[in-house]
Amino acid sequence: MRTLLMNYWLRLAVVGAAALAVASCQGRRAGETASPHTPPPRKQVRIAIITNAVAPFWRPMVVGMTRAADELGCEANWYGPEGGDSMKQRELIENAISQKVDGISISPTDPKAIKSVLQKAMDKGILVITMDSDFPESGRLAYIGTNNVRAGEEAGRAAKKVLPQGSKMIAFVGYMSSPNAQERLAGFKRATQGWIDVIDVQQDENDANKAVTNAEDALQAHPEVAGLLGLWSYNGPAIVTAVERAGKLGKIKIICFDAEPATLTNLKARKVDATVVQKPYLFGYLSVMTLYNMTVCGVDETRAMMPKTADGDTIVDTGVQVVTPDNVNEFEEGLRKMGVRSS
Amino acid sequence: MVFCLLVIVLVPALFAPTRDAFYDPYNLRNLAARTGALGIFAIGETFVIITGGIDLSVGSLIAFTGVLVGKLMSSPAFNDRVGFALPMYPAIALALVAAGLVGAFHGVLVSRLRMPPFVATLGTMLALRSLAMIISDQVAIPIPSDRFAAIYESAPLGAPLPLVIMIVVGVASAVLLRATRLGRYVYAVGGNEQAARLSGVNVRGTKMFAYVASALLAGVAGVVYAAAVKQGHPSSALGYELSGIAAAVIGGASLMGGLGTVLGTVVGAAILTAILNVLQLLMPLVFHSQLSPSLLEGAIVGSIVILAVALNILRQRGRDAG
Repeated sequence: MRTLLMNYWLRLAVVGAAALAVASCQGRRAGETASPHTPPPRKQVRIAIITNAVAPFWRPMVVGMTRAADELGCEANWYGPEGGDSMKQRELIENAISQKVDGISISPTDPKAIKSVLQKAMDKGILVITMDSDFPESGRLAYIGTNNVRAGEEAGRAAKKVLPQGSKMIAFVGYMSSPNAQERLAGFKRATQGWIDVIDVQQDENDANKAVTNAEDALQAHPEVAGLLGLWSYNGPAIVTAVERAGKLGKIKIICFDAEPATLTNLKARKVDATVVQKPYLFGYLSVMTLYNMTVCGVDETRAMMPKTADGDTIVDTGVQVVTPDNVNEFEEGLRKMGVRSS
Repeated sequence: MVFCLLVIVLVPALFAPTRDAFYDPYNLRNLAARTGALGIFAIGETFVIITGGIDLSVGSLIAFTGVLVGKLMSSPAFNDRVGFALPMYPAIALALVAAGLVGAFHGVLVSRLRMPPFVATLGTMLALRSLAMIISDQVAIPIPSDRFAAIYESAPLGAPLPLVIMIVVGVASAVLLRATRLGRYVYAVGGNEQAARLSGVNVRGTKMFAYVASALLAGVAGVVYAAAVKQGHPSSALGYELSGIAAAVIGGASLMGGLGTVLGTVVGAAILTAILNVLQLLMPLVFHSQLSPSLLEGAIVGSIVILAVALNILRQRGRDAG
């Protein structure tokens, strides 16, 4: 996994160098008086990154996006629809088309809702990739994000380390209809087969307060449960709140996803046993890198240098990291260096 | 006054870097469609506001009708195999009837029971959202029909259909308010309900009309928004009623009742739509930008509402003094 990623960085560096070469050729061709010593005039590449909502999860993405844009000298901006409204996301895409950006990287709220508008963007020559949540049927040029099945498997392995064979767990999530929830749970079940039994999944419709009451009710209804699994970022802190109120801290093992500030605090206090963290920083950084190179060097040339799946699709798995009370301090130090406080 | 505001909004759009993007035909088309969709239910909200009431259920009704149309067009109760149970028009008609009934319910609560409109429509706002969640099983119901999508996408005579619908609704509403007895009643009830009743105005009927109109137009907007995203989504349109109220208030309507015009509301809707668009177009220049423009929307729309109402009050005072 790690080697694959490093390999990818290496390739990107090559692509970047190629980009400079191409740009300088064009510069010489365009300006007769330009000497090889003056910096070549570069096309101002403009990129829009459209998220599925406005949420703390996206902070590191914005930091990564800005850093890549600064390094490449291009323009990149973040647009998020309030409340994850599909209509608002449609409007953000439309506005990006009006701005005549060169590339769009998007995490669709609901793929079907924005299919025709994304098609419109592509018809107008805008390069479209997806990040965080894929939409292969759109004809997007690449996908950058977490492989949620693997993320679920990592969570499962972490759970096996702290729970004895035959344990029962309950999972919590906003909507089970969401693909990432299904994939994470499937991965978790696959990795814990014959070891842990997930006896129930409770949904809270993306309501953090309901997430707490769900966990409280589950603890009441199922005293035999040994561990709780939080599939979405706010489920972790919600579970801790409920377990703490029930006076069962330490007796109930807690596995969750993402690294909200509360989750980091809980890890340091050893209230959470493990969290599986995605890398939104890379979503932003690699989105800009990819779209920039596609604009400057060409789409096929860039895709040729990127990782491929067995059936030839361009997918970058940004990987996950398992954070436990034992490595949380190093993890936080890493975040600090990156310029963010949570992930 | 509203035209002053329009100028304030359009000025940033006149600056060079955003000008091209703003006046790009594609952008203008989008602005027209968005203004249309917002304008349709804002006009309905205006009727209620002129009578001195308020309709908080609009956002939930938009989501509810969208979900209902989706369900009716694909419900297994009718025919699972074919996919589409009811044809498009009957499905839309039924959803609009449902919306109208909700409006009639508001009318009964407010005019017969004398329930405060805020409470009556707050109740249905909560209930309809919950109902939409139940009907849809909490997920978006896809409506994969190009003919349905055309309700938002198509542009007869070059104007996007939502705008055309808004213009038709707007002209009819303006004529009704200005040239009919019912229209005069609407203002009379909002101006002074007691006086209106004493001078023989059918207060109950007038209020009933306003709430049914608001709910029906919210239903129409619900169909338009569902067409835009090809689905009925139970958690869509959260807080849209506030945009409708904001459009009416920017356009000179008073929440005390008795004041407001269709044209004002339409201009208010256009201003709101343009602001949000210009905000995104300007954002890269101003902040260069670690801020999503949607984070600023509330602050800017809120400021404009307060500014518009303050100007209205000052103008009113000036007139009273003069």
